Amino acid sequence: MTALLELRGVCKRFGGVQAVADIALSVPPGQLAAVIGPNGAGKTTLFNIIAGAVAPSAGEVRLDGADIARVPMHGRVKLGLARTFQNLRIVPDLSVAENVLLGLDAHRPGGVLRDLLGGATRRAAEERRQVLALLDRVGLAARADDPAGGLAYGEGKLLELARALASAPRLLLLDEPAAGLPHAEAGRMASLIRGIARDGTTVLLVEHNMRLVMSIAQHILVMSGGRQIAAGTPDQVSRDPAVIEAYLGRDDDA
Amino acid sequence: MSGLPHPAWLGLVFVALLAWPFLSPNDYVTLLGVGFLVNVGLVVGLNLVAGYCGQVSLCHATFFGLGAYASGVLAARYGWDPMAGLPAAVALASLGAVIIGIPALRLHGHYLAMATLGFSAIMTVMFNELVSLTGGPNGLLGVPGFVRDFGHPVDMPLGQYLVAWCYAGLCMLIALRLLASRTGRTMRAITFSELAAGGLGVDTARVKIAIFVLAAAMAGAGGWVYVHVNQFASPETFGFLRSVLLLTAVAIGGWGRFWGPLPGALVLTMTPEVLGRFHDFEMLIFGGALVLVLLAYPGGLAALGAALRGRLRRARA
Amino acid sequence: MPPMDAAALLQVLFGGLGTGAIYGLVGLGFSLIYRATGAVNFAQGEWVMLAGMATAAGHMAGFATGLAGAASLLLVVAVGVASYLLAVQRLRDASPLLITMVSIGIAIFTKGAIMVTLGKNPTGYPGPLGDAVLRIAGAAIPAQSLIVLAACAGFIFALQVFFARSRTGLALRAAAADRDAAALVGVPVQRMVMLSFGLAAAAGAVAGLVITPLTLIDYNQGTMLGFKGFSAAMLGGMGHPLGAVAGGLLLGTLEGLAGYAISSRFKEAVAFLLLLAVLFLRPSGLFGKRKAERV
Repeated sequence: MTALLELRGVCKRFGGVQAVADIALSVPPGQLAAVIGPNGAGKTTLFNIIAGAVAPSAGEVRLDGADIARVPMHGRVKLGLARTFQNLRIVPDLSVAENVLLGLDAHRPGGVLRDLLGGATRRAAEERRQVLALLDRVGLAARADDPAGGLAYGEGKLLELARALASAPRLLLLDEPAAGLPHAEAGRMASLIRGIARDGTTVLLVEHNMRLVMSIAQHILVMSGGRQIAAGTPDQVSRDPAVIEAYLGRDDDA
Repeated sequence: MSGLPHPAWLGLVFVALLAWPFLSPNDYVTLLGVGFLVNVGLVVGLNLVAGYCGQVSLCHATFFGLGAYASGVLAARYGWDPMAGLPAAVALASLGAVIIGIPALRLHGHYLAMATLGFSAIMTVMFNELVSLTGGPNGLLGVPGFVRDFGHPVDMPLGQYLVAWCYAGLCMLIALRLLASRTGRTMRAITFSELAAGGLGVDTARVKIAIFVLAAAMAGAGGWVYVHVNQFASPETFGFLRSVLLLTAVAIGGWGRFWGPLPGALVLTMTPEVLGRFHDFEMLIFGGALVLVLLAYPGGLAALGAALRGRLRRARA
Repeated sequence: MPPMDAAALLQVLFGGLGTGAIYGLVGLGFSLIYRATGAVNFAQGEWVMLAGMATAAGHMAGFATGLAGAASLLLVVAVGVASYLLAVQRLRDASPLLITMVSIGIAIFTKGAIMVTLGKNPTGYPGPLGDAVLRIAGAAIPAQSLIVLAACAGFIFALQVFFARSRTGLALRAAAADRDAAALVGVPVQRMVMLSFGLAAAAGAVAGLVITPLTLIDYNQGTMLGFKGFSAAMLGGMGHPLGAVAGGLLLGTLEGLAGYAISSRFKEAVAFLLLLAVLFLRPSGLFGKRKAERV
């Protein structure tokens, strides 16, 4: 079976800094995979390479067997890739529901001319139903018509998740979904993510929170200094001496 | 979308604006209304580009000029009917926007500012130097008015006002439709964060180019209204300063506010009138006003109006 | 097209280099503020004009031209710093877009204020060498254009020394490279931005002081000088001070050649056309490194 996401020899240099060096990763469909590593390990750069926000200096990025290295960010969304952002990128002067609509828009045809000539309003009721269903899933249905700018931080993270799900992705990329969340909310986020994966969406997350990753991920890639230092199941990596040295040994409170 | 009025409000405002030529004491005041309405159309388009998409365009007056010269030259030199000049005006302005917008808006950063500035400078030279077509610095003379043969000539102020009224109303209606649609949502997302919009599957360059061309088309149509009302065009009307003043009107009216173009165009139209022989102070005042608005009240006059309405409502409750 | 004789060509080239040095200085100002804020400062050209106009006013009022020039330089630097302190620094959300818009406001305000106070007529003053003309291989070159080149070179040299050697210069470079990191190691970032405004204004002022004896100046010329400076900075790669200077020299020379070889009526248009062509083909500028989009 081909992997849904396949990375081979991915490298990225910024000026003289090797941010990502020769990373390989294979995520089969339906898996919940994670990339972890201390600050500056190159996780976020790798994430941005997969999402298309950063072009790799070398290497292959394959989605369902097809090389997507030259597909721009917005094109990857149409191929079934959705992402959330580490620092919230919800649009504050749109309502909560409208933010989710932005995600729904990804797969609908049309452009400026089509919008001017009308026709967009016809599907409003159906869209509304979809939006409310997505918001309900993350527990924000009651806030649908509030301005998104008024949400608390944790609620913003949930809205990002709902918005990413709106484009019905095959591969969901989560950039530190639990960062900055208090313990209880992080737990809630973990069970949401597990539910998403159980429903068949492949998930790749980049996380700082070791406990969260260890509790939900099936496969973990550990990075340090841009390189892979270990990979495997949570059990395997947590026993790996290199991981303990590079990560746990120094930064066990993360 | 939040902050957009029901279309009926737009209708109401424009029905009220119909009263102007009947209230005005003389033709001069009626024609001021025409100038105001043309400015409204121009500022509406620029507000879409600058206010809603966050792109600094410094050649909006150039598109205005391309529209004016396209229809003006065809009518004055080649005897075209003014009505036939409208598609030409819109087409030429849009073409200019396509040529500049496609390469510039695919890049990030300050390329649009640079490209529009360069385009403005190039076209100013063309307007001045292509004397056999444009009449050069002395201006294009002999442009016919809108309807010459209609029992009595309708290039009187009332007829001109109606044309300008239709123009401004149509521009605002198009803007309203667009902003209420998913493109409006997308524009908000782009202004907030291009990265986030791209990450949501938005082809940001395409949306920005489309809006840029639409705004140029509106400006071209405005040039068509202008040239057949004034029956004259000269290069300094379409120069860099005018582009900057239009941008100032966007900011003063309210950056990315639907109603902003109305107060913005009003200030733009009325300031020279109010200053009269002190017109040398115009730049000083516009420059100062732009800085003050951005510092003290970034939402502009439209936001001020909304805040006052809110306060009034609370006081009544 | 006039015949290409060597003397005429030399004269055109020299003239182009002189104008180009001015564009380079103005472009340097754009680059400095761009590095510090990410914004395009449209007031830059007005500062050039202010320096020339103020010195001319001092000269007319009977002050020694050197004294008037020095006072104008200080005045322009003060205006630059004040523009930062009174406007840019007070923005609630100091995005590059908003700073750019504010600078447009400052530009029109400055232009309007100078028009109202110093009048609309072109003015000027003689340079230290007067109207002396050098004859080199048959070409007539105004001595003042040598002063232009020397002033440009001198300012750039001084700036390089400042950046490379002084503590403040290093701090400024650190702040430009990474604001947050610089703030973490104790660089007063706000002060560095203010300093950038001051230096940019000084670059503009020097350009204005040396160009005015050659061309005369009026309130309206700042805008075009600003365009050319911005073009030079973009051509050289925005944010590269030395690139801006090279871009300016190239732009000035191209403009001179275009005026000579094609048409003086369309020379402005030709220069901008070339500029746009270069930028669309090589967006990072001629000397800028291709760099990844910032995320």
